[in-house]
Amino acid sequence: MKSLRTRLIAGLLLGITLFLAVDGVAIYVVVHSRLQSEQDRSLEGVARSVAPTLFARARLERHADPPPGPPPPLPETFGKGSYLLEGWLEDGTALLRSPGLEPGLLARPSQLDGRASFSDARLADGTPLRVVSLVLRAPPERPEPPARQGHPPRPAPPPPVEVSVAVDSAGLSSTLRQMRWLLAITWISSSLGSAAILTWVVGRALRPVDRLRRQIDAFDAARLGERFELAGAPSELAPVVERLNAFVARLDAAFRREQAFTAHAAHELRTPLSGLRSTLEVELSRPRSAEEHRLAAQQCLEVTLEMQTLVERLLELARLEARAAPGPAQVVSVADLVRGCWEPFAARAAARGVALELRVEPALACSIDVELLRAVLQNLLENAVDYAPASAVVQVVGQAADGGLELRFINPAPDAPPELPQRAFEPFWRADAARSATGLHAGLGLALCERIVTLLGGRLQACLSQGNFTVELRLPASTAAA
Amino acid sequence: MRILVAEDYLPLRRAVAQALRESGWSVDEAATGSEALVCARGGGHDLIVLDLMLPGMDGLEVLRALRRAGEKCHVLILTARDGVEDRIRGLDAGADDYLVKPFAMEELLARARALLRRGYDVKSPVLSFGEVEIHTSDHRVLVAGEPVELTAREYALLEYLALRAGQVVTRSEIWQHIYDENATVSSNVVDVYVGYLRRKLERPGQPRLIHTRRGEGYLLGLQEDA
Repeated sequence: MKSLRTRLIAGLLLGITLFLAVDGVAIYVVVHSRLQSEQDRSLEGVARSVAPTLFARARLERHADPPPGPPPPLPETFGKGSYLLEGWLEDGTALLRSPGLEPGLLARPSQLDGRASFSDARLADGTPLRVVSLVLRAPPERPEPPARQGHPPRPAPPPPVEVSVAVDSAGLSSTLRQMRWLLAITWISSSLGSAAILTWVVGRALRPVDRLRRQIDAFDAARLGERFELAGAPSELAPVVERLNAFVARLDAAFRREQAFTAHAAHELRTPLSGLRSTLEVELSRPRSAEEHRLAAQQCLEVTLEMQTLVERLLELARLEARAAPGPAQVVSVADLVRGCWEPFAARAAARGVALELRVEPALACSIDVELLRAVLQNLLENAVDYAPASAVVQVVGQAADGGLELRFINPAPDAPPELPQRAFEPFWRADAARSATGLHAGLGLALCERIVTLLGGRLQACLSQGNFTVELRLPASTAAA
Repeated sequence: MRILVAEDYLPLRRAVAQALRESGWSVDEAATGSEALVCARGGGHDLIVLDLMLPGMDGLEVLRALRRAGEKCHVLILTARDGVEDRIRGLDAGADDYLVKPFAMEELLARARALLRRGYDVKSPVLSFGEVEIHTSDHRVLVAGEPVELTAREYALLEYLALRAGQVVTRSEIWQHIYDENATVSSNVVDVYVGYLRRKLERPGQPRLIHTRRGEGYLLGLQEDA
């Protein structure tokens, strides 16, 4: 997998080198073209400058009214040997050739329209030549005026001549070669420079990402309380850090809940476990009678049953955490359901003189997962029975409310601590820190109820008023019986 | 030795109390914080095994109240709270030792023995008086290298006298440290048990080990009777 840094550097470098290459080629083409056309223009000028000489020689060659005196000499440029020249008549008769110039090396003009044609040639010693070939025609003359006395008739115009002029192009080639090298070196050095600058710039730009990556690498479950920090980070990374921190905060909260729950569960199991272990250790510490063994076994069984209750509650809670939706709904009479839920505790309540006062409209019914609702009602009634003072009355008041159902469980609680309503639904929290009722009440009942009611779409609230502890159960309109 | 076990969870309280009793110590039990406080105040306990999560009154509150009242007895906290902070809080509140549930009963007994020895400024687990050796760790008693069989009550009496060797120990002190509040025994039981111990430990021609101080009590040591 390629890193973002590599991708960025490679992509940008490729773009820059391509751009530089295209630029270099374009510059070379333009400069080459300019220099070449400059040379060609100059060469053409030189070629045309020999026109009088060639026309004179053509007249001589044709013996047609040759001008008086010797033919005009070649311009000085030819004399120094910088240029080579060969001239012909249209029929191919050679008129003039630079000394030492191999005949036929310079091609005759292929076109006769007077326009210059340019070509390259090479001397026998390898010297590169630029050649211009063109046909020279004498400019048309004004119409001859009527013959005047004493004036000879104007001579006939010279015939067209062909000329090819060559110049040593090694200088231009060398200049162009140097330019090519210069451009290539510039391209390579620019590319290397760009690579270095890009590496630095991209590295610097991605430094916050690296910092974030290092922070993420170093992150583990033990550091969930910490948050990611990117001072001076680019604005693009700010939302990433923000989301990451929000995610870690949720994870942290979940871990803390999980740890607290596990610690509580372990803590709750320790006391009955140590009761069991101590009973067995004492029992085995010396020889005992059969009756003593029986008694110890009975005590161990009681402790084991308490632990079983606790473990079942914990499992129930875990199952509820994993459950996404309640089971199929059934229509049930609320009053009947409350009475049914009271039955298992009726004897325990009677033993303490605790009575149930049921004030629920007989017709009140709801359509709900009855098993879940039964679990809630049983827990609430059991709590009320066990925590109400002796001879108290536990009231259950039910009515339709907001299209749904409202049930209130009220029991006297004269010694309840003021924080009871706020903490009643915390797992393992008990109004009295002691575990005199370990197994019977592990502080899980109301937590279970709250989870179940949430699953049913309802709400559970507690309040403490005038010495009465009230748990209010509200079920949504969707549970109303049709 | 007299020990108070303050623990609300009945199966555990019952087992701890039984183990301590079977070690020869007298044991009182309390199920709530307020009960523990009432029982401990002026109870003459050598050791209190104290649970922290007691109903009515938290174990730490009981401990602080005892220390405020000037009670010097040793306190061993027995709790399910295993955090370092909990231990520090417990020890800083005046506890002498801290044991986390679930625990090995043998460890609890060993810690109790160590605390009891410390209470009488004795370091060695073996108390020697001439030919008599008392091994407090396993309750063995040797006379001239020979083991002597003692009942739990006899051993408890001997150990108490030995820990207070050189001091006159009154009958009521013995009573308080050997018998728990539920004991129903006759008033001269201490004299009877001292007699048993003398018969089992003292040899003719050897100096007496347990001396009677008339009108005061008993003194264990190899010195001559006054």
